Amino acid sequence: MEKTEVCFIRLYPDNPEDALIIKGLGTRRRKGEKSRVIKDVLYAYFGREKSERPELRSTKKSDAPQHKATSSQEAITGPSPLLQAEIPALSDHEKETLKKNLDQLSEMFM
Amino acid sequence: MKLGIDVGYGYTKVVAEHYSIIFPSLVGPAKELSFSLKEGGDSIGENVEYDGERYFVGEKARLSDVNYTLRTRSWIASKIYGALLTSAITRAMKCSCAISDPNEVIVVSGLPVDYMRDKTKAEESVRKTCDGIGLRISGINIIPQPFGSFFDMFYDHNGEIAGSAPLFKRLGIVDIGYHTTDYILIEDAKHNIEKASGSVPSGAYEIYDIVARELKNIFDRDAVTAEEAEHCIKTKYFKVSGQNKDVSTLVDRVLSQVGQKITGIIKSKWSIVGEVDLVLLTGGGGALIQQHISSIAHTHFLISDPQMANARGYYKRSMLLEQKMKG
Repeated sequence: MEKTEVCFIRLYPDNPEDALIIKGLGTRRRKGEKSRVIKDVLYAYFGREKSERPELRSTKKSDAPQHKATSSQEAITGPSPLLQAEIPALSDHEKETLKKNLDQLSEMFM
Repeated sequence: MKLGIDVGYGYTKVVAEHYSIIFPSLVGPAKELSFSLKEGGDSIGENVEYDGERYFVGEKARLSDVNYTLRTRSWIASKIYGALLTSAITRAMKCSCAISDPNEVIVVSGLPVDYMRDKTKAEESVRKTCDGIGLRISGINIIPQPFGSFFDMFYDHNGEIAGSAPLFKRLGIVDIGYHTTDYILIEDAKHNIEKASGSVPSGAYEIYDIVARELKNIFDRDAVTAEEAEHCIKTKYFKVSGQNKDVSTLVDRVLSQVGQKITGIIKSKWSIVGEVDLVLLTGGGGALIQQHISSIAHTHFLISDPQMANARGYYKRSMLLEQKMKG
C-alpha cells in the first residue's frame, strides 16, 4: 500500500471526532495530483458544510465570534474577537455539584 | 409580583416576569407646567410622591427647574433614592396589573460591594417606598451589585441552573457602572473571596467627563455635555460647525487611560489570590473598556445587554426567594 493511500484531516481541533478522510490517493500518480484532489475535496466539503451545518462553519480570525446561545446564556454574547472563551457543557454530576455550591453561596445573602 | 430593581446613578432598571423597564435616574421637584406637549397628563411613575413631597422622575425631571444630585454613600437613605424606587415600582405595577397579584411584592436589589454594610438602610428604603404605595412586601433581599450578573449567568428564566452555566475554579466579575466599578471574585461558584472584592470610584461617567473636557478645549466650545461626549465615544465623531470631525484617537486614548486605571486596581487585588480563570464583564460601561480587560485574565465574556444584567439577575434571585419561601 502506498504511504499516501489515506489522508486524514482533522478539521476542528476542538472536536477530534470530526475529521475528513480522503481515500484512494495511492492511485494518483501524476505530480501534484494528490494535493489537487485533496484541495478539491476540501473545497467541496466546506461548500457543503457551510450550507448544511452552520454550527460547524469554519471561522476566520477576522470573523465576528458567534456563540450559540442557550437558556439564560442568550444574554451572553461574543467576547472580544481576540479572546474567545469556551464554556463546556456540564455533566449531570458537575451540575449537581454546581447546584450545591450555588445554594451555599445563596445562603450567604439571606 | 417579583421585581429585580437596579437603582444606578445613571439609570434605574427594573426586571419583572414578562418585561423590563429602564429610565434615567433623574429626580427634580414637581411643578405646575404651564403647557404640556403630551395629552392626558403624566405617564405612570413620572410624577411620584415620596415622604410627603412630589417629584418628577426620569425624562420628566428634565422639565424641573433643578435636578437633584447626590453621589455619596448616604444616597440610599435619601429622598432621591426613595423617589427613584417609587417610580420604578409604580411603573412595574402598571405593567403587572393584568399578570399577577400586584398587592404583594418580592423585591431584590443591590448595593455597591463596599457599601454592603448599609444593607439595612437599603431595605428600609424599599420598605418605606412600598408602604407609601400601599404594597405589602413578602420578601426583600439586598445583594452586592455584581452578584446580579452572577445570578443572571448561572440561572435561567425559570430559576433553574442554566444549561450552559460555567464551572470554573475562579470567576471574576467586573461591573462597570456610571460612577462606580465593582468587582468580585468567586471560587468554585461557592465562596466570595472578600479580600479580592471591592469598589472603585470610577466608571463610564469619568470617561464621558474627560472626553467632554478635551473636546471643549480642542474645539474651543463653551461647553460639551456628558451626553454629547457619550455620543462622540459611540460614533468616534464630533460635529463642529456642521462638519463631523474624526476624534477616534482622542476617544481611544481616554478609554485606554481609564481602562488601565480600573484594570490596574482590580489586577492588584486579584493577584494576591492567584490566577483568575474567567472574567465576566458587565454594567453599562462594560463594553467601553472591554479591550483592556484582557490584561486581567486570559478569558473573558461581555454579558450582552450589560446595562440590564444586574437587574435580570436580581429578578432571577427573587424567583429563588419565592421558591424558598414556599418551601
